[in-house]
Amino acid sequence: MKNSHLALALFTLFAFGLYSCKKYVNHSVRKSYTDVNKVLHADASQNPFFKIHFKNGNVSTLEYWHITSSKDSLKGEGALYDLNRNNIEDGQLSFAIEDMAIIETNNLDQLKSKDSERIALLSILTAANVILDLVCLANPKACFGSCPTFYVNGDDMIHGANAEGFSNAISPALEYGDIDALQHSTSKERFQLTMKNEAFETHMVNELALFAVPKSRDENVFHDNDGNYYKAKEIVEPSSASAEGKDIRSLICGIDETEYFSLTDSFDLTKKEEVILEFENMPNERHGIVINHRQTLLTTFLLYSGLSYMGDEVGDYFAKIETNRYIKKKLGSPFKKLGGIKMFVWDPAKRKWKFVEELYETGPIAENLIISPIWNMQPQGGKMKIKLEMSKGLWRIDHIGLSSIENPVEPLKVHPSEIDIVEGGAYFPEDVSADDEEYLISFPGDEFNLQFDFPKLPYGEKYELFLSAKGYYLEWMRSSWLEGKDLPKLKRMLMHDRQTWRELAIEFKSMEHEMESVFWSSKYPVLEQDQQNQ
Amino acid sequence: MKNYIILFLFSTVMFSCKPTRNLQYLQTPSEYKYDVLGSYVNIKQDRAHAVRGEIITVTNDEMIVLVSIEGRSELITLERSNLSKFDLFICGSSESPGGIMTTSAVLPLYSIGHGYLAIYSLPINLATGFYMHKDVNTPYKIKYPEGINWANLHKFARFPQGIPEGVDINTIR
Repeated sequence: MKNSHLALALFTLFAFGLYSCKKYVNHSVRKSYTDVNKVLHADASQNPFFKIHFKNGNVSTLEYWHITSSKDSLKGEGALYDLNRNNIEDGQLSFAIEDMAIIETNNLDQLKSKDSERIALLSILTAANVILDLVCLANPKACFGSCPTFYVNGDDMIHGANAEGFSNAISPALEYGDIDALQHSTSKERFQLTMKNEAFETHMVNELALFAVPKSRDENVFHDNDGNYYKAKEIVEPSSASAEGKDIRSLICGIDETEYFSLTDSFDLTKKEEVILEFENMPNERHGIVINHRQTLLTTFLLYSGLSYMGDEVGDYFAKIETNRYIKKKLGSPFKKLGGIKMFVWDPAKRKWKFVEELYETGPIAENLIISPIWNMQPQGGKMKIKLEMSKGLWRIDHIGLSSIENPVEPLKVHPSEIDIVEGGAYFPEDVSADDEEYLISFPGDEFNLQFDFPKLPYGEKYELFLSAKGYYLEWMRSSWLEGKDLPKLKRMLMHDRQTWRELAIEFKSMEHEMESVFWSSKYPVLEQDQQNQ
Repeated sequence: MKNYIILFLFSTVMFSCKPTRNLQYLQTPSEYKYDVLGSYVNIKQDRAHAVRGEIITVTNDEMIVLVSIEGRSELITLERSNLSKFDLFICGSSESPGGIMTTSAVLPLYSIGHGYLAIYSLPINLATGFYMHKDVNTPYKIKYPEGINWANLHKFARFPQGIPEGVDINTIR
């Protein structure tokens, strides 16, 4: 348990401590009267209940009492006990006043049960817990994270992750490697990167490496979808940006975590939207579209829905993925149906859009900064017009700009030189230094600090860093998923049945806003821009 | 994660404990008026020794307490001059301590379904459960001498009138 969490527990206890008074009362809770006659002849309604101690050591509890007409005895309803407090008589009782030693009454106002306060507190907390459970049940990724997450600052929470590894590799057969810009540069010769497992998953990490590109302070380095690296000039922001007729320029200018995103169509998850960007005063050079983006929780919803439909046959399906190419292909088809971010550039001579590239990177956590070189068009008259086409509600776009590509560069590939185990099994750098049979296996809660050593740089230069991670992960099935088994629906989903996809769209729509806000609320207050988007 | 599991198991075991011996002996607030035994007293003599039992009677100079030693009841006479401070246990502060403790014990289980948000919910649930467990087991007490003087102590004895005449004190159980 981290100190901050222990502190939270202690703070809660302290807060309760402030309100929890010791339950001390004073002796007036009990009154005893040796002057029996005086008490008996007072108004009976003042003391409808008595405890009577007799001279012989017996004691009686008595209710609804009255003095008999002869004035020498007392009648009432109650119980009589001997000196060892064994019950010797019950019901209608009659006692001679001369046998009584002490009459006792109680002031019960001081002795009230505190249960109503306790139950109120427990009810509030239970309700909050149940709501959080329901939210997590409906939006598992919002609570259970995803894939290995990587942090430059190991103390950051999940929303501060710099990269997430192989988000699409949900079985051994789907193992692949991807490259993420850490959006961080360093001039140090030793660099630490923290890898965490914050999900209910088993992570099988085959190879980890940093690609490092030396650069001067003024230079930018980006990588493209094909694993090429480019030095590029300063990013030029668009002069105008619109989506569905709305001005979104303030959202997509600057790498600042204010993002443009739309909501899905109510009935069609594949419905597309267009973002149009215009750039002015561009030099007549070769440019690339620089885009910083990540996914919403839509693909997460589809993945978890699919696993849920498999129910207790999930193991069988995953075994088939390993041996049956058709099944493997079909299971990836929902993501293909949604598609990536298609980018086009306007050709003013031919008056039509020219295709540049389609980007696709799974994962709702870390942003992907990538460049798409525009090889088939240069600015005309200093102007360029770009179009993005993508499924509504699938992508979050933090930034889109253009950068003039200077030259391709060859990065330095560096594997970890040390692995410090914060939590987890004992592993060594050799386990992740090559694409081989050796794996680092990480379970929920595991955390590793990876140390990388770089050659010394000339003064003034820095390494721009990119993470390469190869592996796969296995989702832990949750009992609630087993209840959702529906193999016919799974089949219809994979076969792109129109009605099934319509049902999925309606289901996602019902939780979309809540999912997104739960997932992101711990990072941002409600952003003005987000409100505009809704 | 390992620490969370240890903490979770520890709290589950702790919360599942039966009510303390004091609470088993004590009545609930609404039943207190029917209590025909003397109040429970806890007198710490030093760090290692304490006298815990039912007050049988209190005279001007001494207090007789019925204690249980290895399953046998035994009367112990305590000199007033040796008693500087102690607590009298009056009654419990809950009508249904078992129900509240069970609900408190279940609280941390909810965090299992909270994913990484459990880093916030688990400490709060554990702390609340711990507090509830402690609070529900805290009875109403009177502190001597702050809350009661010696002259009034007899009200909380089994025999506030003193040991009845003709009763062999050794027959009291």
